[in-house]
Amino acid sequence: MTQITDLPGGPEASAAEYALGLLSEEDRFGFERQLDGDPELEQEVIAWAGFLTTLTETVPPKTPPAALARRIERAAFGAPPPAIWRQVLPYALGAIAGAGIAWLVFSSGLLVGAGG
Amino acid sequence: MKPQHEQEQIEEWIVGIAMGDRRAFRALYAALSPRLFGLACHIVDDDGAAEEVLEAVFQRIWTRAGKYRAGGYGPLVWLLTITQQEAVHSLRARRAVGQAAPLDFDDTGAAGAAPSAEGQMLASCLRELPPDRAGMVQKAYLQGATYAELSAEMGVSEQQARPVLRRSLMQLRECLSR
Repeated sequence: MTQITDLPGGPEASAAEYALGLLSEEDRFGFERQLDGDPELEQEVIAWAGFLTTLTETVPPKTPPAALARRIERAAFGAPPPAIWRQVLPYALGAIAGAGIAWLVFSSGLLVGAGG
Repeated sequence: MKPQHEQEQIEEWIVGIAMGDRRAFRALYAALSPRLFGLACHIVDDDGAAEEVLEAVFQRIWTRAGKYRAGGYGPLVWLLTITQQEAVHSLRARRAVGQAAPLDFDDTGAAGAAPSAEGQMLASCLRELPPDRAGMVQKAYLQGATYAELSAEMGVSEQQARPVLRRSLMQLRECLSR
């Protein structure tokens, strides 16, 4: 493999290659290790990123489909809390069941029978 | 929105997101998703793949907003860079399995004039390079071109192409720092 130091431009040219996404995976990891303790080299990358993003200025914006926003929020925040009717549903069912039992008891005369 | 105010607003949202503020996340999405989705669509050239790119981009924004300040990027540059990286990553993966068209060297891309001062500076410095080299910079950034593809287009080996392009990048850097 060619060593970066053998190539023209040294680490500064590598910073441009890095910002352009031209480095192989191996070279990229190597460059990132080099970046870690080198604020000047980091500034090189940031400066390149600033210039290169101007290439996107003429790209027309496009509104993503509405469903994508929900998918993205679900992925980021986790599942949304259940809707309010689903939260009260167990209580509502319980209330209906209770009313049903009460009605059965009264209408069948069970209580009357027990008392008499 | 004025550019300076826009940058400050985006930064405020990113700082909010770093603290887990969902409203800030929604506000940033509402304001910036058309720009980022437009870029993703432009690079990957497929709406479905671009949607996956945008998902990955906002996942990264949500999880890495805390590290944004330490990175030293401007807020908009940070967002655009993440989007460009994710889009190129997706495009290359899809090209590798034949799901995306191979790189088209005749497609010169959107060549409108960049409105910002930095954009005009880059454009004028690119014009000082030999035309094919300037095209390679744009092809790498907006069409995910690799050294393998660029060297094939130049008709030379990768080992030969790389020093040539690196010299051009240094020439470009020299012009940009004038």
